[in-house]
Amino acid sequence: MHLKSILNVVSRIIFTLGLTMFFPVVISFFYNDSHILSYIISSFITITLSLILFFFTKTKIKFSIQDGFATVSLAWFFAALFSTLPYLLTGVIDNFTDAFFESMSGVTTTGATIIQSSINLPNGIESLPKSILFWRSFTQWIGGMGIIVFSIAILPLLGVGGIKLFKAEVPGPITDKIKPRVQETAKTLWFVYIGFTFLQILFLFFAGMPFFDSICHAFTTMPTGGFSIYNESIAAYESIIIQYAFIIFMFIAGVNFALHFKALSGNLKSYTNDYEFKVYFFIVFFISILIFFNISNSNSQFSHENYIKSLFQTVAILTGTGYTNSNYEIWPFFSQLLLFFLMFFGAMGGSTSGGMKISRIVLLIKYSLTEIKRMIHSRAIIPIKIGNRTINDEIIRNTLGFFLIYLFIFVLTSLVLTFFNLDFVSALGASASAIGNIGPAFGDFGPTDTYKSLNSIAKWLLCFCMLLGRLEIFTILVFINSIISKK
Amino acid sequence: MKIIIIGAGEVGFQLAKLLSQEDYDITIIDPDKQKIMRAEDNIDVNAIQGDGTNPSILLNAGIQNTDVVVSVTGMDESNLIASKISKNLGSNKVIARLRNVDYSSKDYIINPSQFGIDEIIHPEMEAKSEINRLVIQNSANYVDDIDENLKLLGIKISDNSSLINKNLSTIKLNNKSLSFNIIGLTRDEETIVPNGETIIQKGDEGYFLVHKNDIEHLMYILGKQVNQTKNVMILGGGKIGRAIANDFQDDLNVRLVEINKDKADLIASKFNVTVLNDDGTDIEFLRLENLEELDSFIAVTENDQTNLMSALLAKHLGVKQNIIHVSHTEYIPAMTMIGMDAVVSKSMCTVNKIISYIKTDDNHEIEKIGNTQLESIDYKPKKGSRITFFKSLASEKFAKNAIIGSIQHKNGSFSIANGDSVVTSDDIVKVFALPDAINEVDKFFI
Repeated sequence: MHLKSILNVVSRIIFTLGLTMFFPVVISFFYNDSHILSYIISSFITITLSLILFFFTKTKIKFSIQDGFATVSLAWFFAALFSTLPYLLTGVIDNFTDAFFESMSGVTTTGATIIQSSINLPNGIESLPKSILFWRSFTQWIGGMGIIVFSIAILPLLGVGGIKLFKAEVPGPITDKIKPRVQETAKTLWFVYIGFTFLQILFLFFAGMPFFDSICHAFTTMPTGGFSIYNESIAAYESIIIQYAFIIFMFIAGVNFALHFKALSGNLKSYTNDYEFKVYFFIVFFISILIFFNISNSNSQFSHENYIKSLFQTVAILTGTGYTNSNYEIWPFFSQLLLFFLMFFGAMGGSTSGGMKISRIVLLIKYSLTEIKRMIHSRAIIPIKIGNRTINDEIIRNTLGFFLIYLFIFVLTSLVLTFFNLDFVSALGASASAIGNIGPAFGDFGPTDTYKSLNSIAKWLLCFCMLLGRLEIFTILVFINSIISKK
Repeated sequence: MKIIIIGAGEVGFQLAKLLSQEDYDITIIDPDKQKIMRAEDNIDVNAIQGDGTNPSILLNAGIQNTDVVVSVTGMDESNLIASKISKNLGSNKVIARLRNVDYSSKDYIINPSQFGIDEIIHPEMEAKSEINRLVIQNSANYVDDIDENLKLLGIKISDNSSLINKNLSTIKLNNKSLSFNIIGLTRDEETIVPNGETIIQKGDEGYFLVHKNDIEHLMYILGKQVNQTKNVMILGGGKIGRAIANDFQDDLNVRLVEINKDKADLIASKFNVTVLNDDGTDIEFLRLENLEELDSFIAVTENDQTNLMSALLAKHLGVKQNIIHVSHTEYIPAMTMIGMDAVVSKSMCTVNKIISYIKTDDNHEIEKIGNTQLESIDYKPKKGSRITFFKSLASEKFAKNAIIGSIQHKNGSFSIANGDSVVTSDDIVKVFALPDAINEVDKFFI
């Protein structure tokens, strides 16, 4: 490993993060909430430390594949670490573990929170100062399209090793470069991302949401993050138009951004021609209908309201956003279990969503089916196709490995959580929710609860799971492996 | 500028690598999955797996708005077809590599322009010319003809040279009688464009711009012996070996070693050279051949390892100059370190030539200097441009990482630029610069 090169690139990424801390300074100034100094100090500490690191590691950048994984892993860890500063310095969170949990949950776009009503915060999230509400949303927004992709887009210096970093961060089994250059690709992705964010802000604003609320919610919808500025999340808004706006934008965020780019450059058929998109659409449609019938049957009223609830929760959980507009824990078990399984799915590869991604699920199913065929014709050559793209063996092997490790980590995490005296449902839910970057879970951590009560070791474990999930497991494992195997 | 490269072999890959480090958007196409993965993992390009002669693949790569298509697959026929299709689909400029030299002879039955090819490159012929220049100037490590009188010589500074630890101003001052210019230094695989304060270090290779009549004088200063080339031995009767033999058969005493009997017979019947049917890596054979009387040993078989082995043996047996051809361009920097006098690679020659073609436009005539990162650019200063107001070149600051090498006057005569030179808008000025300096240099001339 070229430690100097790695740290040097990491320092540049942290530097940009430090610069972004000026946004809450502006908000704080605007709302005059007396925390302005906290953000300036946060920014100052981050920038100073990154500059010190930069000058101590100044070197000719050399990058191996291993170094790419190490850089991405460290950059995310440090991003989460430095993002705790505003929480700690403003004093809204009083201990480091909780601050780190909130901050990791932010940058990984999980959306699990530890903020609940207490002496300091009588109304929970709603008693937080506006600038902190903004900062929570902002960490999700920057983490959504990825801090690495963000850095590649604005720092030309990352160009050479950029593609390695890019691949280690962008989710999905197959990463397409939509432009020949990685920097152009990163810029384009961010451009599309910012475009949709603005669109959503306008949409929400004209649907009657206050401007500040619109910004914060758009910043947590596009990255499929799920932090809300209300204790009861989106249920705080009664407007049907607002509910639908959220459903639509969560759905958009779950689509591969390369498809958005192609559509925006004139090829509107790019959506309907894409196999994964069709499956995504079908899952949303089918599961929401199932849930709708299930809950309507149980409360025996087939109302539009029920359908909005089921559609909203389906999209929110599938994409890993994790907003809630109803307490799904009072739903029948069938619907709850469906939502639980959706946590593993995720939306499309190349989107900001969590989970395993639909393309991987499709690939696994298709692969399993070919094995049945192979039982009869043992020497048959059966290509596996997604749409009209033939998937090669390496990707299939990679996907199988990913699937197994994903489940293994899920099982292990659940086990450890039960060790801390959690019940079955809470442990399984929290673990699936953390790895899938969803947010809310079941049992102790349902839509009306927070993660505050969790044991602090368990909090650190979940932080680790969130990071694993966001970087699609291999990146972190390769990094850990390269540290261990060195000795 | 958008460029599509068809073929991700040695040439395609190196070309994509060098261009992608500058401001070019590269798409590279190859049917071979391994090659595509190599490109994807190592360079910042768009890599597409597929057949470059397939129109739908080319359309997918966005050929309609591509500026240059470079066809460098392993087969001439594929390159011709790919070029034709690219031109028809709307590419501005098409460059193709063709191995068969017949295509560029005038009375051949088909000619490349029918296939929409704007520039052809024959790799073996490029390599041959470079080797020939080295054979004639056998104390240099690199030779380029700037024009018929002016030469650019790359010369490794000997460890005991008096130039070491001196800066260029001092060196020029000490040798006022000689008109020359050091336009570049290569040090640890990096190219430096020197100025008066640059100090020559041990292990540097200097690039000297000098009049051909002054070469002997320059070599004397550098402590190198100049001797006329009389005896050469060529190892390998492939395309390059035969082309060299053909050029030198009348003037020099040429021995050509070819291990294949049939090939050796054929060469012996076609060229006026001594053909030896033997193994060039066999030390007993080489010993019997009296290599100490040899001026140049040229190893140009298809096999890099054979070339390296025999050239090392030849050096050991006392040959004055050994020239080696390598197909793998990655080997080039290592070769001079282990005692090769000159390294030539047809792949690198091709890459340099293609880059020169791509970069040359209405304002610049650009040529890439082999084995360095330097480029030479010809400027005709616009009337009223900054450079024409300089009282002398030394009086004002010129662009960073660039140096004025020589000036061609209206009457056709060349002079080597020095601090007292003055440029007028009638001159043609040759600037040597690193690629990223060109925009800066433009400001002085345009």
